[in-house]
This record gives sequence, structure tokens and C-alpha cells, in this order.
Amino acid sequence: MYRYDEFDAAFVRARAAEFRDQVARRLAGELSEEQFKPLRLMNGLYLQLHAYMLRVAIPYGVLSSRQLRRLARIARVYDRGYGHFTTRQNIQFNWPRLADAPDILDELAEVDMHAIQTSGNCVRNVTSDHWAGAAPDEVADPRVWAEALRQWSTRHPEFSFLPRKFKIAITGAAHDRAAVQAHDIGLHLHSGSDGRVMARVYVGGGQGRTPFIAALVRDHLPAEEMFSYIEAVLRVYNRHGRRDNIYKARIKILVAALGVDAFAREVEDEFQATRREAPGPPSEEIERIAAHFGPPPFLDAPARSSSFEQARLDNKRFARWARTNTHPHRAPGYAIVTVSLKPISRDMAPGDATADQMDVVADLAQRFSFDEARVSHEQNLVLPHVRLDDLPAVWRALDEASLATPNHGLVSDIIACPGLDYCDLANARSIPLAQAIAERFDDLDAQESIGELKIKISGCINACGHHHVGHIGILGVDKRGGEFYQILLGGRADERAALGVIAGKGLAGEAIPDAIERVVTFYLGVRRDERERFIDALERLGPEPFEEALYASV
Amino acid sequence: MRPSSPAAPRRAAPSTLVGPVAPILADAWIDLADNARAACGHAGGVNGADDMQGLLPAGDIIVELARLASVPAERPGRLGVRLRGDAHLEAALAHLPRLGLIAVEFSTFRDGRGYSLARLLRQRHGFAGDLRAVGDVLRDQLDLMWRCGFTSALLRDRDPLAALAFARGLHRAPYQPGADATTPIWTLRRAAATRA
Repeated sequence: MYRYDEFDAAFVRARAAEFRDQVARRLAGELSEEQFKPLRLMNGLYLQLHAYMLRVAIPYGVLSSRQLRRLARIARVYDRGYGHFTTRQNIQFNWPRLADAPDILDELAEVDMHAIQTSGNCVRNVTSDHWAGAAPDEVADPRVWAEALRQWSTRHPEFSFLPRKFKIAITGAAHDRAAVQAHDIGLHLHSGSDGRVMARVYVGGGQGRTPFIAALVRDHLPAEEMFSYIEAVLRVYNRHGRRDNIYKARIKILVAALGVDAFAREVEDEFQATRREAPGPPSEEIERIAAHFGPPPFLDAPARSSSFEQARLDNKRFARWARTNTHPHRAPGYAIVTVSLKPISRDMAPGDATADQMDVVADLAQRFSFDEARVSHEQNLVLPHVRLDDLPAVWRALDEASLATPNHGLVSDIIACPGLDYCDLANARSIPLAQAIAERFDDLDAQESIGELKIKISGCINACGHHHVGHIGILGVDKRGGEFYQILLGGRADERAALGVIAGKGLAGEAIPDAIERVVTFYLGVRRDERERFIDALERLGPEPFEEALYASV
Repeated sequence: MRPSSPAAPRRAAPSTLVGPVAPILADAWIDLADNARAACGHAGGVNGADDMQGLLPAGDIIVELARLASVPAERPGRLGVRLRGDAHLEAALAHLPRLGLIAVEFSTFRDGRGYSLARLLRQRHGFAGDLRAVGDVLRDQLDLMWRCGFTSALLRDRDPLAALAFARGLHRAPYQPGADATTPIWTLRRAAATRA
């Protein structure tokens, strides 16, 4: 994984020192809150419902064990003993004191981390496939380009005050696990006819109150030209994006207003100039970064492991977990492990991890996964490179730490925003609803037989819980002072991205688990066989019969 | 408890003309396009151009984009133009050889359009005169402005010397090239690797 050199380290340390100075000026009363706000936002410090919230960047979701241990330490020392992993592969601490924020940034800088550009109207943390470098279907390693983009976009002189925030996601595998078409710019790497790495460029995706799936604007962009191309996109957006209305300021609105073809032409004209004026990093810089992402020294292991097979026969719980939470790896004899942060429990919110749990995963990463862990946008952790022989030991340690819920991709693996429990903007709670739905399907056999089903919950129209692209999406709406929820059906965030369709009228929170259960029961009755997933059946039959089931007894 | 958000005194801060290194003490430009000054009765900002043909003050003047064409070529004194964020850049380009200064207006510090205008003027259209940031210019943006090709700024700050020192602290080796001569980190890396 990428390690800072002297230049990266100097940059991040200087930013931390600068923020220390700004916080001191604020605490001394030299800066008003209004003056301080843009400065703290550039360092990821938000003012939330109850307190400050610090959002720390985990670039493209990659963590070393040392970094993960440091996040655990920050949770323990400066917060209430836990952190919240987000749908943008970041981590949020919900209770830091303003006076401690500079110390936290120093602690982060010591382990090559920062909170730069995790908020504000700038290019945000670049997200990517959490299985990068491990997945069998990978064509090109997206981390190389994500790191180059991280550097290129950091304190960009022209694009630090865009009309609105700007999110870039990149994947390099056939199956899109990074939801790239739900981003302002989505990059899907593929292999060109001559073996060069090419990028398919999507622009103008996004959720919020006006959701769009991104439009394809370039099919075959040589990857090394993505910097000039993104510069062209950002310049067109910076100059012509709306600034009069915060709800119409994202690039998706500009793309829709101009029309995709006109927008793409304008970008293309600009690109012909930026590729001369502002070429991206030279090839040796890309090679330097790529050298950090070479494959770890995998052992020459047989594709089958007899100790793993034996453990599956001996222990049904392990066998179930191995079926749901381990995935094929590109190296024979290895597996990818999903560490579930979605326990079926009222104690933890989706994506939360205690400091002790972070330490457990850090230890496992160090011992069994070449020192690496990942954060997925689905708010789980990943151990990317685990030997099949080691899976029983990894499972035992995760199970002891309540991190082995066997529910990857299943009905209880729910994405949820922090909702009204934490967030200033929310209309309704998300976390208790996610917990109630998970409890309704607490029978693991039933969950497994239902198969892949992605439920995503947002507490308000800003859609941080990605409800537009859930197979079942749930949106909290304020209705005459009560908490009501709208249900959407048929969204998906993969390479066949689609927006869910709103189904009928809103339901009270307590009616939602019943409604979800009815629609799932309906699906089980109509599916052709166990291989036809919920989303497949919904696309085959259309949403109407599912909608009817949803409201059957209301 | 939720920290309070006191109202800001920022708008009241005085403006000082600065360059990247120091305040600019001698500046001969008269900004006829500055509506704020006009409202205060200073330099007589003018919106209606028609009646002003013979009434332009002597010396170096900054006019609005819409008036540029009506300023006589033979007029003595240097000519500058003030561009708003939404300015139609192409309309200014025809006049570029006549212009000694372009003032780019930031209506609020959040309005980032001026950074793009600056880079286009410098890097694409070769403007070599003074490029000046005016409007809501705060110390925290100065380093970005210099990097986009601005050479002066009308800074709103109570302590301009401290502000310049602060901005110089921000102006370190950047990750990407801009319109100025600052060397990006990737070039420094190559140089370091060659030395090693």
C-alpha cells in the first residue's frame, strides 16, 4: 500500500500545524464561527446536532494495521470509544472536543493520515473498490489511479471553491463494487485493444433530492489522460455550475440542463486545451505510485485447503460464515474476508466499530492479511488477503469480537446514514429502523435462503444512506411531525446502476419491518429458483406486484 | 451543548492591496467599475456608459467589461477591466493587448469562478499584465490565488502583514502545476530521485 515520502509527510504536517493555529485563533476569540467555518471544514470538522464531528479520510478505503490501531486510539482517547465507518470509506468521530482536534490531526499525520477535503465544496476523498488488488475480476488496479488523483486534487488551486462538493469513484474490475455511476465522476477502468489501461468516464451521477445515474461521456480515455480530462470537467463545472441554489449546484444539474451531448462536447473542447496546458503526472510518477501497490508476497498455496474444508465440516457456524463472508481471491489458496459491522443487535449502529474491535481487526490484518484492512462503502471492513488455512483462526477471533455476523450482502447487511440520532439535517431516525429490520430477519437460515438483498436507509432527502440505489431503499420523511418513511424498489449501484422507484405512500416506522417482510415473502414465492436474486425477480416482473405486496395489509 | 455561531465582523475589515510578498503601497489604478466605491461617493463608479465618453478621469482606469469598447484607443493612461465571475471571457479577449490590468471579482469567498478565469487568462490567452483579485478576498485564499496567476489582491483583513505571513506558510510545494512558476511535487520527486 502507499507510504508517504518526505513530500507527502511535509504537506500533511504543515496542514495540521496550520489548523492548530486556526483553532487557537478561534478559541481565543480572534476568529468568529463564521470565519472559522470554512477553515475547519477544510479539515473535516463539522458542527453536528450535539457536538463537533471529525471526518477522517481513508483514501480509497485502504488501511494498514498501524493506521487502524491509531483510529482505535483516537476513538479511545478523544471520543467515546467507537468510530463510525461511512459510505464514503471514511471514518467519523462523533464526540471530539474542538480543543483536541489539532492533537487528533497530529496523531493522524504520524501514521500518514489526514482529514483534508473530507468536507467543503472541493474534490472529496476518492473512493474505490474495497477488493482492489484481490478480486479475480480485476483488469487494472484502481488504487494506483486513486492515489494519483488524491494527490492531484489535494489543495487544487483552481478547484477548492466549486459550486458544491465533488465526489470521484474509480473501479478497475468487471463488476463495479464502488458504485461509480452514483458519483459526480465515475471512472471504470478497462483494458484497451492494445493492452493499455483505458477509462470509461461517467459524469453527473448522484443522489440527494434530484437523483441521477451518471451519463457516459467518454468510453475509451487513456488512463494517463484522466487528470487533464477531469480538469476539463471541473473547469466547465466551476465556471458554469449553478451557485444561486444549493440544491441545484451539483454537476448533475448542469449536465441535465445542458444535455449530455452538449456537456460532453464542451468538456471535449476544453480537454483539447487542458491536455496541452495541464498534463497530469508524468509516467514515472505513476510508476512510482504503482510500485507501492504490487501484489504482496503470496505463498504458493494449493487452491484447496484441507484444514479449511475440515473446519467447515466440523463447525456449522464457521461453515455458514465462510459461505457468506468469504470470497474468491485472485491468488490460489487465498480468500477475501468481509468483517461485518452489521451485528443483529440494538447496541451498535451499521458501520460502527468500537476501539477494541478496530484493534482486533488490526491484529488480524497484521497476522493474516499482509498488514492490510479495507473499509467498504457498504460500511463493513475487509481483510483482503487471507490464506484459506488461516480462515478458522480469523473467524474465531472475529466471532469473539462480535465481528463475524454471517450476513455479507444479505437482508441485514444494511447501509444506513447516522440519521436523526446524530445528524443536523435528518428528518427521521435511520439506525433504529435498520436494527428493527435486522431483528425481524434474525434467523440466519432464512437470511441465507433469501440471498442477496441490499437495503439502504437515509434519514433525509440528502440520501447519505444511498436509498436511491438500494434494491429496497428507505427514505425518512418528516410528515406532520411524525417519522414517516417512503419505500423505493429496484435501485442498484453496480455496473447496471439504476434508481429505485418510489412505491406508494409513506409508512410509519413501526410498519416498515412488516412491509419489508411481506415483500420478501412475495419474492420467495415468485422467484424461479434460488439463483434468481430479489433484484433479478423484481426486474423480470416489474415493481408493481412487489408494491402490492408491500402494502397488502395497510 | 451546541457551540454558538456569533455573527461575523468580517465585512467590516478594511481592504489592503497586496502582492505575494508585501503590501503594494503605490498603486495608480482608479477603479471606475467598483460599485461599492461608487456607492460611497469615491471614484464615481459608472454604469451608464454613453454619457461618459469625454468624462473619463485622467490616469490609469479600470472599467466594466461592457464599457471597454467605448474607451478611445488614443486615450492616455493605462486601461484595465473588471470581470465578474460570470463574465463572458471571449468578450474581453479582443481587448487583451490594450489591457494593463484585469481585476477579477470574487462576490463571496465561496465563489470560485475567478480561479478558473485567472488560469485561462494566464495559461491559455497569455495575459501578461497585472491580474488582481478583488471582492471578498480572505487570507486563507491568497496562496490559491497566486497559484492561479494572480499578481495582486485587494485583501480584506485587519492585519495584512500577518495575513501575508500566514499565506506564505500555505504556499508550499504543491501536488499539481498551476499558472505560476511553483514546481509541483512530482517534479521535485524526480529531481530528488536523480540526485540519489
